[in-house]
Amino acid sequence: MNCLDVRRALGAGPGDRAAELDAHLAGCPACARYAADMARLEATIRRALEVPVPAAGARRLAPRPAAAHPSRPRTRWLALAASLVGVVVLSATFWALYPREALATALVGHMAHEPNSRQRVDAPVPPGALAYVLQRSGVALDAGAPLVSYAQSCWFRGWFVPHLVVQTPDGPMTVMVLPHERVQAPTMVDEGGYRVMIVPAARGSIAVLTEGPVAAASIEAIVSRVAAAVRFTG
Amino acid sequence: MSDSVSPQAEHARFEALCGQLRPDLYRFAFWLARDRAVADDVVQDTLLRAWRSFGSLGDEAAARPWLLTIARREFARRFERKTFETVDVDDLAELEDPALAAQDSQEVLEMRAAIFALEADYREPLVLQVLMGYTTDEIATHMELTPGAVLTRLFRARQKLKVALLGGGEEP
Repeated sequence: MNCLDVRRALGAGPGDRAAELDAHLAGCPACARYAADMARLEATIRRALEVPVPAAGARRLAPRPAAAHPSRPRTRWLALAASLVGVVVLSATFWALYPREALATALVGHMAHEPNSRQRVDAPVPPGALAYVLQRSGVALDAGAPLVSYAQSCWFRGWFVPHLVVQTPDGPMTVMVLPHERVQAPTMVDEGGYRVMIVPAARGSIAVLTEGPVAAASIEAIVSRVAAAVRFTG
Repeated sequence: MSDSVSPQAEHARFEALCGQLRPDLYRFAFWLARDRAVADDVVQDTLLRAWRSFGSLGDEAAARPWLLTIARREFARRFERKTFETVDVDDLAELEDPALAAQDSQEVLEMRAAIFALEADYREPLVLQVLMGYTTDEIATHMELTPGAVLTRLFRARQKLKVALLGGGEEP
C-alpha cells in the first residue's frame, strides 16, 4: 500500500480499515499526520451533521388505527377507503364553510413544529437569515416592525411562508405572513391554547398567534405594527 | 404478522419502534432536503407510508434501513411534484437555529455550510456513513450504486469539505 492508496482509503472514511494501512501509518510520518488531520475533520463532520431534532410535538407518529390495519383483509381496506372518502368530504365541507377557523386550526397545528421558537429573548435574528426568509416568499419588512427574534421559512399549506417570532411587552408573539391565504375581514379565534388573529393584507393575510390570555387590544396593536411594516415584493 | 395481534398493540409497537428511530429519520430527511420544514413533512409522509406497510417489515432490526429507504422515495416524490428554488448556500448557513449556532463552534458552523454546499450525490453517502453507520455495501444497496462508486463519492465528499474548510487543493 503506497501513500496514495493510504490517503484514498482514509478519505473514504473510517470504514473497514485494512491492517496494511495501519502498518503504513506506523512507518510514514507524513501519512500519519494526514490521518490525524482526517480524524479531526471526521469529528467536525459528525458534529455538523448532528443537527438538533425538533420534538415530535402534537403530531402523532402515525394515525391511530381504527378498523384499518396493514395486514387486515380486503373488507377492512374497503372500510378504510370509505372512511377516507368521508373524511375528505367532511374536510372539504368544513374548509368551505369555515375557512378562517380552518386556517386558524392549521396555524395552531403548525406551532407544534417550532416548540423552541417562542422564547423571550432580546437578540434579533441575524439580518441575513431574516432577509432570506422574507425574500424567499416575496416579502420585505420595513423599520417599525417589532424586534424579530426568530425567522424560519416554513412549508405551510403548499407554500414556503415566513414564520417569525416578535418580542413585545406582552411576551413573544408568532407572526405568519401568508401571501396565499386570503381572508375577507379581521378575525380573532381562541384555539388549542392560542389566541389567533388573522387580518387581510395587501396580498393574502397576516396571522399573529399568542399563547395564553393576552389582551385582544395588545394583539391588535402588534398586528397593526406588523401589517404596516410588511411589504410584498415578489 | 398475526391477525391475533390487536391493531392498538400493533400501533403501539410501531410507535415505539419509529419513535426510537425518529431522530435518525429526521436528520436523514433534513440532509436530503436541507430544509427543516420539508424534512418534517418528509418524516410525516414516511411514517404514514411505513405504517401502511408495517406488515411487510419482518425483522425489527431492519427497521432503520427500511424507513430511510421510504424517506428517500418520499423525498424523490416531493422533488418530482415541486420545483424547488435554487438555494443560496451562504443564506442557508445563516438560517441555522440561533440556539444551535450558540452551541456550536465556528468550525462546526463552517463545516455545516460546506456540507450544505455538497452535491446530493456526495452528501447522501456521507450522511449514511457518518450518521447512520452504514457500511460501503449498505450504502451501495441503498443508493443502487457499486461499492466502488460509493467509495469514490465518499472520498470526493471529504476532499471537498477539506478544501472548503482548510483550503488547498483536492488530493488526486
